[in-house]
Amino acid sequence: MRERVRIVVLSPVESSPFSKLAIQLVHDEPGLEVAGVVVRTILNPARLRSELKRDGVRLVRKAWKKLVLGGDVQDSSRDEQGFFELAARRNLHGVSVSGLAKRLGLPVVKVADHNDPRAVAFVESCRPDAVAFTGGGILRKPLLAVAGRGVFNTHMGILPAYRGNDVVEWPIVEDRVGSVGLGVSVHTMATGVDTGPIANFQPVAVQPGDSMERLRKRFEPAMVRGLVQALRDLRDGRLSLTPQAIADGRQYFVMHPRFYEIARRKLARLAADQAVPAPARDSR
Amino acid sequence: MRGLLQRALGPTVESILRRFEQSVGLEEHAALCARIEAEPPVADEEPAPAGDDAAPAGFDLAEGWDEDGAAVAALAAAAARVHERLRRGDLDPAAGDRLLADVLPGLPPRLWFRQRGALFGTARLLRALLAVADASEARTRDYTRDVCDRLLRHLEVRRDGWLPFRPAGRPAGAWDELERLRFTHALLDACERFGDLRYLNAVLKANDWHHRSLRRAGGVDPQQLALARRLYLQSFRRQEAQMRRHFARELPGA
Repeated sequence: MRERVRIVVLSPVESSPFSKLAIQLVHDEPGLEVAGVVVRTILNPARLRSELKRDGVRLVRKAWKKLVLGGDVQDSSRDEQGFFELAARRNLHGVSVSGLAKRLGLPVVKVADHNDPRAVAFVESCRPDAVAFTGGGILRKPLLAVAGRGVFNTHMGILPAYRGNDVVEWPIVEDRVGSVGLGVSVHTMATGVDTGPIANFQPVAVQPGDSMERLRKRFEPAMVRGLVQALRDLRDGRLSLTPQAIADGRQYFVMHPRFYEIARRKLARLAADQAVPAPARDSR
Repeated sequence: MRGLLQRALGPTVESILRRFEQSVGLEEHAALCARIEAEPPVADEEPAPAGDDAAPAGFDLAEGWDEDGAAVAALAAAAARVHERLRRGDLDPAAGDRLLADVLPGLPPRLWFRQRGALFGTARLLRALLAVADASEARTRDYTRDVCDRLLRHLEVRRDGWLPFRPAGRPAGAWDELERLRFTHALLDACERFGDLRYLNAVLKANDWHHRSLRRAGGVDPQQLALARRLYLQSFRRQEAQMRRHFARELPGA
């Protein structure tokens, strides 16, 4: 291993606070170095089409909240420390991902898609020890092949049980919060959906009075924590990746609005009854 | 500034977004169901194709399977006969399993739902497999589960463009929506059989799409349309029964 561990950060969009936090925290961490940043351009018709097809109106609603309102939405989640609050505390508001990269003197490339050959060539030229994925769609084999020890992804569900979409809500609907739990799984990406080896878990507990917005927002610092922890473990030679057996979990899909409403009602009851303790999990 | 923006434009944006929601309201489903109930009754399903019930022909067709589904029509007919006999209760599920198991090696799960389309007529084969799942051998159960998961993935990825059908084996003049409705019933069977709520979630989406499709079904053969409307009505009722069973405490009015 080199003296400093070289990390490339993949960002889904210029305004991503998660990407900015990842870049800043890796940059500030002794023994870690941001070797480059790849950021997707927002106006990409193919991407918009595929995401609209998958998420429908939810995507527009998300864009309205995140891009227009800047995450400053008046709801019950405002007292939680999410990406926006964490980024603001580090003075990362008002700067774009590529702006931050330039400020820190980091090479940056803008592409329509992370699988773009230009992105693959850029990542390869950075000679990374690992890649930190902060969002931006499915990655194909050529990019995965040049990512050193792997592309680290933060998944908002407990793996291998809950792969895919809406995995904060699905354990609630299936009444498995007590047995499987809720939390972030950091794993390296493979060609299957959320099937790569697991680096660490960051449990997230339901708290009294939780709404779905509040609960989801509490996942955000856990994602940052888990990603940085995995990269520290890599630096310290302590990274242990646990393979997943495909049969140990299921792939979940986007919820129908009625299922989403049921998740809300079940969560309200869970949150009213008692605080559900986070399951004992390895959270290295 | 952003708070102001939200207060000023939030309600308008929200109401526009609601109009574009892909889901169909319960009241709209209920209204269509009420209209269908007022229509003259039709048979629940088409009669199964004629054939020799005792020794369904199609099952020696396993060798004839290929990527183009050349033997689909014959297999679909045989599957329909088995399904019909299971439904009438004049075929023991264990015997049904033996009949169905014979055909499985000739139709690997990966052939069911391809990029180029699905095999028309196989919905009733899947429903027959699900009907014998409890009595079946492990290989039939594993096969059935595999096909159900492939159907689920196909629906969730293709969304309202789900189940285009390959030309091979597709009867002339057949309305694809009818076969899609049969697959929706297969998903309901799968949810009942395996207790897996992912299938019910998919059924909610499928019934929304069926609702839209039935409302703009101009020019469709009246007999097929009447049958499709009846299948939709049954599918919606089964969906709501499963919703009540699984979420009695969470549904409005509970």
